[in-house]
Amino acid sequence: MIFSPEEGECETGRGGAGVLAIMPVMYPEMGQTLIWHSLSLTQRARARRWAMASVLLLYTALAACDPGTKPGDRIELVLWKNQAGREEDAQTTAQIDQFNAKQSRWRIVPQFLPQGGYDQSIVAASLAGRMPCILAVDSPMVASYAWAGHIRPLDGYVATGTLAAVSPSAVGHYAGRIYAAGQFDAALAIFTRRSILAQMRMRIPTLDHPWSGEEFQTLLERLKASGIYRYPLDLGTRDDKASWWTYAFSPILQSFGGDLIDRRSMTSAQGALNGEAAQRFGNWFQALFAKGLVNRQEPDENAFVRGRAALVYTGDWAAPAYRTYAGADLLVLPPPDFGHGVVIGGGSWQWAISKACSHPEGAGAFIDFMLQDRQVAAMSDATGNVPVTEGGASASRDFGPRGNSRMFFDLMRRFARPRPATPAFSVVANAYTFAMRDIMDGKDVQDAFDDAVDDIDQTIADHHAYRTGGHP
Amino acid sequence: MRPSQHSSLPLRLALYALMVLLAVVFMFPFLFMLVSSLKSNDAIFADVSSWRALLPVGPLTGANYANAFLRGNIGHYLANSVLITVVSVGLGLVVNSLAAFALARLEWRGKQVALTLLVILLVVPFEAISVPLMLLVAKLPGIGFGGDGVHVVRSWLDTLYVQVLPFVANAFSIYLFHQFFRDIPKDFDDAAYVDGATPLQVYIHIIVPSSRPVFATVTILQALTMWNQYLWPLIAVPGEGARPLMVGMQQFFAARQTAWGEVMAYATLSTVPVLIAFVVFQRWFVRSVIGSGVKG
Repeated sequence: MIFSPEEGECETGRGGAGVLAIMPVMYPEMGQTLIWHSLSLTQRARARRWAMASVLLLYTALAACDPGTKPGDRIELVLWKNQAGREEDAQTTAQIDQFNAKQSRWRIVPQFLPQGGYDQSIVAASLAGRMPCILAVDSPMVASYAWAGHIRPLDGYVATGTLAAVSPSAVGHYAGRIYAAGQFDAALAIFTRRSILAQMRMRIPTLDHPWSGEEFQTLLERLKASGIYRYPLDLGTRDDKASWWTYAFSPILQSFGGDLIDRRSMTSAQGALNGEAAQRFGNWFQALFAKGLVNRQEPDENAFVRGRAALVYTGDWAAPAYRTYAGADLLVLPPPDFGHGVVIGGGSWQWAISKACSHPEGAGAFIDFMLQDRQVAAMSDATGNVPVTEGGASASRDFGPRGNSRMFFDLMRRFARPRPATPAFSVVANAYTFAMRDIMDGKDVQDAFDDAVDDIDQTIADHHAYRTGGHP
Repeated sequence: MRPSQHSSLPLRLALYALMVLLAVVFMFPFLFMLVSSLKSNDAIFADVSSWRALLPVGPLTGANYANAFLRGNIGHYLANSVLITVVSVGLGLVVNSLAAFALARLEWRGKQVALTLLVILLVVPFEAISVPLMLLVAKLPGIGFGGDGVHVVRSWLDTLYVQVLPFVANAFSIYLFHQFFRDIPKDFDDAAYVDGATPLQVYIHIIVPSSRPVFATVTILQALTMWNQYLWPLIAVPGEGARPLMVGMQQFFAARQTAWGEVMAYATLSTVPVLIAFVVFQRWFVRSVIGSGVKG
């Protein structure tokens, strides 16, 4: 396998033949036994020594040779991407083929890695000095990768105009610089049926006039009182991954006025995660379960489809199944405004250039290509992911002005807020998730958030507030 | 546990009932996997809280198996895993038994030190050495077999042999061989030496034929370890060409909604070779568990 052109393979047909020629001397049973048996013991020992020395010399020589890139050859740039499903991987491959065909200088060589161990693979490759040139990075990890020295800033390699057209939530910042940019994003929404709202005598909220927290609470309690739904709202709490709990529930915390961390300093969660706003949010969240408005653990992800829940809080990826189920009765609504505006999570997988890449200009050209409106639109139409540029949305069949998924683009553009760009994000996410699950189970809200703040602040302090780079 | 012929009938019935109950408990995950592999995602979750989860009822489909091959590329990964397992076990048997022979049957200076180091190595988990090993193999030149013939590659990463060679020499296997070889009477060796045999001839003609049970034990334990490799290929084999079976399964967890039916079909196909091996070598397998005190 080729990792980069300067680490390329050394064509050595003769070398291989040489090794094969020596094999019978080292291993006489493999052939030439007659010659071998005609030798004296001393001659055999000498022959073995010479054979060993020759193999070592050959091996060293071959290992040292570097054919480099022949004039006129394309320069190969290895790209690593998480396996993200059939449609997305196929579309990425198609767009890589298009890029390879439209210019003659670079050839992108993609490798799709299992998502489950993607971060471990990146860290291991970085330690071993075998990083690919281009890599996909989950947006919350951008700061960590940048701090650790795995990736480099995009400025200078991707056109400023291209980056400016990308929705802010799809751009990965760290320490004031852009390190990654996504071709698509995702958007969270409330899904329900028009008929259910009519039955409950509730208005249909809009982007400009979303439900207030009180209206949302009224709806939930009316649904519960109707006796039709044992648990009216599905929040997806059966998914126990920190990535979901942070992505889904930190925006609601922000809508209450709190946050995961103090975004001005990025060095403490004190006050943001355990202040008065967070306390109100935690009490509201806990009451959802205490009052039986949300099931602690839905048996499957089909509560809305099977009619067990009237409302579901999830993302654009669920829309196709819900459309099949509810048809024209389906409503895609903005989440409620709990006092500080509607907020949804922003940032999906993004493209970055590794620090080890010897040809960042080639990697930049590729990323620039992928962020053009045509590619953005094609990716969104193939996968259902939300486009990140106005032009891409306009060119898209599904996300254009009259597309049936337009709502998700509008939600993303108006309300998406990226998760905090700190190298401590994985600790922040875990601490927040533990706290939220404890609150769901009835723990004192203040205690739960105080514990999370302690964990986060201690980690940041242990790393000297990430003032210095994390790479060796 | 086998009820004695002299046990009373009620006691025997109770013991059999207990064994049947235990068998059901142990069969539960396998049955669930097998049945779920024939159902759609929706059907799996609809049946999950009832006995239907263990019965092939409702709409059944073979699409999950088709997807495991078409989408999951399981044929390729299966071939890789078979190759890795067979080669590493084959080489491991030779290398480890020879090492154990030297430790158990030959006299040489430093033998006790080597044996002590070997025992120390037994307690070092692979996770502790995975990163240093990665750093090492990343910079080791190796031989590649591409379309243009034999050539040298600058790293062992992303190859089949990086999944084999670091695991050929195994402290636990050497220790098992050593313990077994130690108990073979030395008189056999002495008689052979008197007749002019070399140590290698003693190993081949006396030790190996007398040690079939331990060879079977090591084969089974090593084969299971290699078949189930996950962490190492995850970090050392980024490409799909040399990817083994267990890592290949990860692709079904990539999408936002896990395709559980396909996961179960893939898991069933991954289990079948091990199950066949178990049925064929059941006698040896049970002996290996008893002899080594280790479950597979």
